[in-house]
Amino acid sequence: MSSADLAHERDLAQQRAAAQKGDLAPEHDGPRDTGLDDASLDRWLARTWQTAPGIIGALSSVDHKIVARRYLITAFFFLCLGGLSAVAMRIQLSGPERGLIGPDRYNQLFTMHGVTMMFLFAVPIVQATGIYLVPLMVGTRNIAFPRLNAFSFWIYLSGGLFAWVSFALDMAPDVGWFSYVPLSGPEFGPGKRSDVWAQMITYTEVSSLAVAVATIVTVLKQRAPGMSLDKIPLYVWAMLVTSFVIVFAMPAVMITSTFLILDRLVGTHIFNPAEGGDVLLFQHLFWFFGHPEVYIIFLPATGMVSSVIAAFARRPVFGYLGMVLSLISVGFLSFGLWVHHMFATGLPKLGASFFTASSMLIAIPNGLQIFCWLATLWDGKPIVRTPLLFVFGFFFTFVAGGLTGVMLASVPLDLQVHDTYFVVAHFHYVLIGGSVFPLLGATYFWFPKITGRIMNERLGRWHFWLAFIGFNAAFFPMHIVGLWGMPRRVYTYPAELGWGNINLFITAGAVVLFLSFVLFTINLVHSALRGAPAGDNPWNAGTLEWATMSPPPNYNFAHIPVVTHAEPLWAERDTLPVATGLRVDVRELVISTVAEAHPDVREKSATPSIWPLFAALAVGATFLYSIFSPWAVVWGAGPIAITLIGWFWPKGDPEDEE
Amino acid sequence: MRAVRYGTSWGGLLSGPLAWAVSTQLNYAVVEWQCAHRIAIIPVIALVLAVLALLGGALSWRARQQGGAAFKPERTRGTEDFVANVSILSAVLFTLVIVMQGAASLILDGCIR
Repeated sequence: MSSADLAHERDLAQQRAAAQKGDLAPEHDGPRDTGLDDASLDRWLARTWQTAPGIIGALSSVDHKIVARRYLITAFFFLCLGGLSAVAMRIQLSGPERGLIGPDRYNQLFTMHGVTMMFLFAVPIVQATGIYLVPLMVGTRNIAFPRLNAFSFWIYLSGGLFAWVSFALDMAPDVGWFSYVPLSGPEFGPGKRSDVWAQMITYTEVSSLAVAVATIVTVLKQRAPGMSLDKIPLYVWAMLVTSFVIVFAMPAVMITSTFLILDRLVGTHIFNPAEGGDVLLFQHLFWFFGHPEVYIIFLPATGMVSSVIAAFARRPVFGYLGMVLSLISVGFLSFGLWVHHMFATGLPKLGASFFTASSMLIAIPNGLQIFCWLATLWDGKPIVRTPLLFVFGFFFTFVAGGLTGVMLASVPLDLQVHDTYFVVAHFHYVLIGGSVFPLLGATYFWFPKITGRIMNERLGRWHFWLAFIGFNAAFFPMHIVGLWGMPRRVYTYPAELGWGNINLFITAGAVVLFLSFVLFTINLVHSALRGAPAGDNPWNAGTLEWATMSPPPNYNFAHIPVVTHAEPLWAERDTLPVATGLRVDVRELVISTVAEAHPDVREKSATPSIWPLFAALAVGATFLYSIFSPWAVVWGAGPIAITLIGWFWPKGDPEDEE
Repeated sequence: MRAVRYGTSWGGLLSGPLAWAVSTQLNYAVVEWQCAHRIAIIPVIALVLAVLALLGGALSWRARQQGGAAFKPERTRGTEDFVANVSILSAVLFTLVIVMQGAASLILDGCIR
């Protein structure tokens, strides 16, 4: 095994100088991984990085893999709730004037469906995938700010429970997932339903922002030595860009929801035109977040597609430079499209046309990605397994959704089909095609890494075809019924309009899609319990997560790998070069430089702590109370301050040493 | 100046999106002014910003030729070239978007609602 010792000659001089200044721990401050045999190394590292047994230990865990698994399971649970609410709506709409669900419950259902799928499923699950995979792919032992990461999960969980308990109490929001004023304002939204929407947003966005910050720092500062900017896996690039988009987009919606709460609770008139406020300001603020949100969901999915295609085409993705350019430029352009959601609000046509230009030209980098993937498959030797089937499904569905997107970017067409089922069809093609299909493919692809077992291929193929046929049967006819004029968000329609048969067909498609997810769930459970053992690298893929065991040990890598190629495991097929010199008795990481990933310093990683849970409880209680009283901010500040002090108070661990 | 002599690899990555963001915001804000004064200011703004985007791209191009920050011991030519290439292409892409936005004002009247 070749070794690129962290403490090589050039760094030693720097370290000596730094140690004299007190910047670094002394050289001989504890046992290092240098020279330890494999069994001893495993014993040391497993003990150092373990999550303590018992309930307190589990609640204190800061292991990125454990937190990510919790996120994934919770997001899947919310997917089930969101999916069941969709099935209920489809049964109600399967024929004219059905009385299964009344208008009030229907309003809550479509709002909860949208809110759940966007805020409680799609964003958390793509971030959770990143929490699990990014540290492994960049070759580090834990995510940056691991306690913040744990905190984010508890906040997310409490936000999701808050929303669904509200639904159970018949006080769920009923004004659509974007909750426009004045409908959601104090004039037309009595009770607490809109407040539930507003604070649920705050919970989930705080959680999202925390994960984004942790992901950015992990990617920029914790990459394995040698993983320079041109050798970062495309999935990691996608997560980096997504995290930056989250950091700049999410505050806009938090401001929106806070303004709404202020209008409703304190009596400000920020969105009340009668008192000098501005209704359209709500839409501007919301969609300044809302459109990037689509790309927050989509960009990680493109990273997943790149990983799957490279593994199954048996070659690196064609046009790495173009792919990175595409990710970055889509990230930027996503902030310049928001007004295309507001074409029907009477804005000046010339002003709207600037957003039409951006909306149409974002098709260039997105199209570039599609062509790069096709070229990869063309030049490779594709092996068609379930993950690749879902990628094919993604191509078809997302391109169809993209084409209707270009149509909707045109103001005259948008005005004709605004708020009809054509729009519903478009965004389900984009979101399910662009994100859910890649996510399903990614599940089949990375499930072996997470559980150590391979998912059943036969069930997987059945799942794909049922999902693909069911999805298209359910959503393609919505384009037609939308063009016929059926508005979205109606709980029923009269028989004379003639929409009954097509809606029955749509419902049949939705049931098939639902059954595909039942099959998927069976496959997940069956494979987790009885699946064939996977081995470290069942697909013979090239990125670093496959360099360690399946499932990975708590310390991820016995030695930190050294990267020489964008697909390190293909470049170094026999032995992966590794870096040594890290302490094994404390949680220590390599911090590397941003551009070149030169090993820079050794840094401690935070130990498990119960305080992130307490802090999340204090923050969650404050958010909950704040829908009833503005004084929640004052009363909540004390408990939050106490829990944060507890969180940061030095515990005397070696990890607290400077 | 070193940034010009050796080039700045990330120049286009900064100038392209920045000029486009200014173009989107500024042009959107001056639509009503253009309508009131009947002066075609938007194509001029778009042109200036397109040039700014391309200037950043030119700095990246120069870094591609001269090595950019690769003279520093901790930086390598390969990474500099990669960043420069992404930046050049980014400058071109965002210039295209800015030009498209400006072109819209040649077709549409700012007073149409």
